[in-house]
Amino acid sequence: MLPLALSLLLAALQRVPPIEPWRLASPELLACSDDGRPPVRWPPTRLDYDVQCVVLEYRVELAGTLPDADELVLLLVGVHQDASVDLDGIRIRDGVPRERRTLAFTPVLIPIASGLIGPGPIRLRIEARVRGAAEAPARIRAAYLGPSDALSTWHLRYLMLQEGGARAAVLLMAAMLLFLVPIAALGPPNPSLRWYAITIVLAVLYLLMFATTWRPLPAGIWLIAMMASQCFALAAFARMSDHELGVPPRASPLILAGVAAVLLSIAPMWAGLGTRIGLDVAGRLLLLLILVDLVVRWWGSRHRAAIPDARWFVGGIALLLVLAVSDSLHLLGRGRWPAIAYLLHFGILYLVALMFVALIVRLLAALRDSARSRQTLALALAERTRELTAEFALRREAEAARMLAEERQRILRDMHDGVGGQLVALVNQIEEGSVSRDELAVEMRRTLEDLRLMVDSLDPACADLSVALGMLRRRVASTLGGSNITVRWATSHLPDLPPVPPATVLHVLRIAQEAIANALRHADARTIGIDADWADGVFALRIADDGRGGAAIGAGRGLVHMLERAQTIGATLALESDSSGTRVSLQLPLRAEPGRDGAPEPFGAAPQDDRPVARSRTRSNRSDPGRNE
Amino acid sequence: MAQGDSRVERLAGTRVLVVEDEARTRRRLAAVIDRDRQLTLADAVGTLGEADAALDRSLPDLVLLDLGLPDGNGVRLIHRLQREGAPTEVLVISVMGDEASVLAAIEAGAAGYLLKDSTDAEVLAAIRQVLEGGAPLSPSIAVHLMRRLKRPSHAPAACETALTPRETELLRLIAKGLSYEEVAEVMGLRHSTVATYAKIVYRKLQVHGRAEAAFEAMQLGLVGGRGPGG
Repeated sequence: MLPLALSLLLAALQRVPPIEPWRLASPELLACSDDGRPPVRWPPTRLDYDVQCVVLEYRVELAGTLPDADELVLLLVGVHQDASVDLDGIRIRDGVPRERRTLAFTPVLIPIASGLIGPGPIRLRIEARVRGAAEAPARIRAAYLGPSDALSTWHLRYLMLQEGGARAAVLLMAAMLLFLVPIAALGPPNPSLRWYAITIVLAVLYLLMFATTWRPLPAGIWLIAMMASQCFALAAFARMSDHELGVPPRASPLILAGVAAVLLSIAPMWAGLGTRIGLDVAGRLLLLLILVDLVVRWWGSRHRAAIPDARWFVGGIALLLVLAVSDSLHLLGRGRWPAIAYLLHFGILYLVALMFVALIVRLLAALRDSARSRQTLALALAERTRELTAEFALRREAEAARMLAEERQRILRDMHDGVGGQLVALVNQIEEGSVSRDELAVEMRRTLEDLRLMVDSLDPACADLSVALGMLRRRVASTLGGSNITVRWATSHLPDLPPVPPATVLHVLRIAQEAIANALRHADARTIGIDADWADGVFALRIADDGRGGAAIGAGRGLVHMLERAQTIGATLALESDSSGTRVSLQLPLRAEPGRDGAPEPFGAAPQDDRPVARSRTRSNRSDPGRNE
Repeated sequence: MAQGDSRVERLAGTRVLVVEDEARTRRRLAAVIDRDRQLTLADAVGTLGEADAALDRSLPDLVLLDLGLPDGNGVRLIHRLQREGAPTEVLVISVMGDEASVLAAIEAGAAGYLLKDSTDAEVLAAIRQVLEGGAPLSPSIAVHLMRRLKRPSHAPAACETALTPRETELLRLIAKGLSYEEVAEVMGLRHSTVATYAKIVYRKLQVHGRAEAAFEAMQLGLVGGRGPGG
């Protein structure tokens, strides 16, 4: 039986050696059964049981010879503290109304005059007031007769066992409570979990008050807690079974029934009557109803699906059923078994323990499931990662190859159109003899300059336009040499600019160089000012001279090329030319890319297609063909 | 370029070795040096072997060195001079778009570079700059230097070789295309000081390169990392 197992477990937990008094020579056993079992199993010879009081009569025989001692003591375990005890018709203990908050079943130690006990069987009559349904009917669990000093020790031990056992029970309950947390967190949402939790909390409260001297609340509250916990336990049990059986839960009728039962059971108490019978009848009836319901439901849905915890339910139901029937029969005066009514107080414990086991089973299943699914998931994830990595590598490779091919194409086209074309033209001119030595040198130098621009544009450092302009500045400075034209650069304040692709660099450099060359060659300027800015995501480059002006788009190929270049890189080019000079202004959208530290790559990462294509616009105040280029 | 008399005197008789495999360039450089009255042409050779032989005969003050030689990379010659602790300065002859090898040469110990298509005046200016303790710096190379020396490195000597704010500012201005004169004006320095700064930065790159190599070797377990005896 579970309570016995539990007691043994608690005893073991407390490290108190189990008390086996019937095997001791001294103190002598007062009574003993034939097969050596402890007297706890002995039924009273007579049990009067009404709403107010319980009377038990035992006819016991001494198991051995009386010890030769001046002062004998009778130790009774399992009787109410306020019970009056008669020995062979002589009162040896008066029923003292006990304190409201003291333990009901504290072992009782009664001094006995030595002449009182003679040979032969003795008659013990115990009469106790019943002070509410929470108190189990008294009966002797063990009785000892012996010298007072020895029995006092035993007395103490019993107390310790009881208190320690209660503590252990509380610990166990707390462990069960804690156990609910991972279940609730882990498993699928199970509506009955809340019910378990309430049940266990109430059970803990109930046990605390039942098994210890702790009485923080009046007996009425205790009673309500006990009944409520039983109701909740049953409800939880029902809900769990509903859940397992896959039928819709029926919480409200159960709660109603539970509340009704509680009210029913405490009503007689309030009416000043004894509560034992009413409570028991109501409680057990409710229990029976629910059990029958559960069995019917389980039976009905047995074939529907496999229920993993079914055997636990069946076991629990059967156990409760037996207890309930036995208890009920006993109440009706037809009980053949000992008063199990007392044990039924542990009914709630059975339920909780059953839930506990069921929860463990479920937790293990959930853990198994989750481990399995985690493993499957990890495998699938690894597989997918592999696939994606391979795919990504392939794509990156393809992309790199594509970009490289494009860049190569661009450079080839550039060389063919630029340096190559110029060289071919020069060769033709030389062969025709139509070019002078000086002209040749100038042309060659121009070709070389163009080649330098190309090479510069491919330098990773020049992906920063400010550096590219710096390279141009150096070149222009060395070209100008001793000429009396002043070139003022206002570019040193530029910050590090976001990297752009080589093609963009080359176009910007060529536009700038073309504008400077135009100013040098055609404008008859004394000063050329070049300034650049980067603000609000726009890179602005202005080349202004103080020459004659008169430049216009379309008048010469140089400006048309500049415009085309600007269009290609998504920039806008504006031209103003009047008598105060010519001003070329280039505006290129240039945004810092988030997540880049500004380190340019050999081939800039920003494809031109990504840029917003800005309108090219040109302004010309005065058109004067023949003055451009 | 304004120079004091003492400097002219110091430059006088400077012996220059030209190592260049392309005959036309070699001849032009040799002629430029020959024409200058302060410089003396020690020799003009076309291979590493010949250069080694020339160095064995006598150490020049300056070597104009092409890197891509028929019998090997010119950097080997720089390593040799470094090993021997020779006071000889090396100017690398570079073509356009060859910043990577110029940087490698500077890291090995070269004092600077000289563009192959420089005018005669530019060649002489670069040589003088080096002899005066300076170094030529292009915008592109300035950017590379900033990146190499600014980036937090795991190398133990990173602190020693990290750029000072002043050096960073100088490199930044150079990167925007300012000449040494313009930089000097902006930063309120003497022109020669700017050139010296450039040289210091080159040395830092050299030290940085060595430290990094040492660190990597240590990581690879090539040399012992414990104790000064290592």
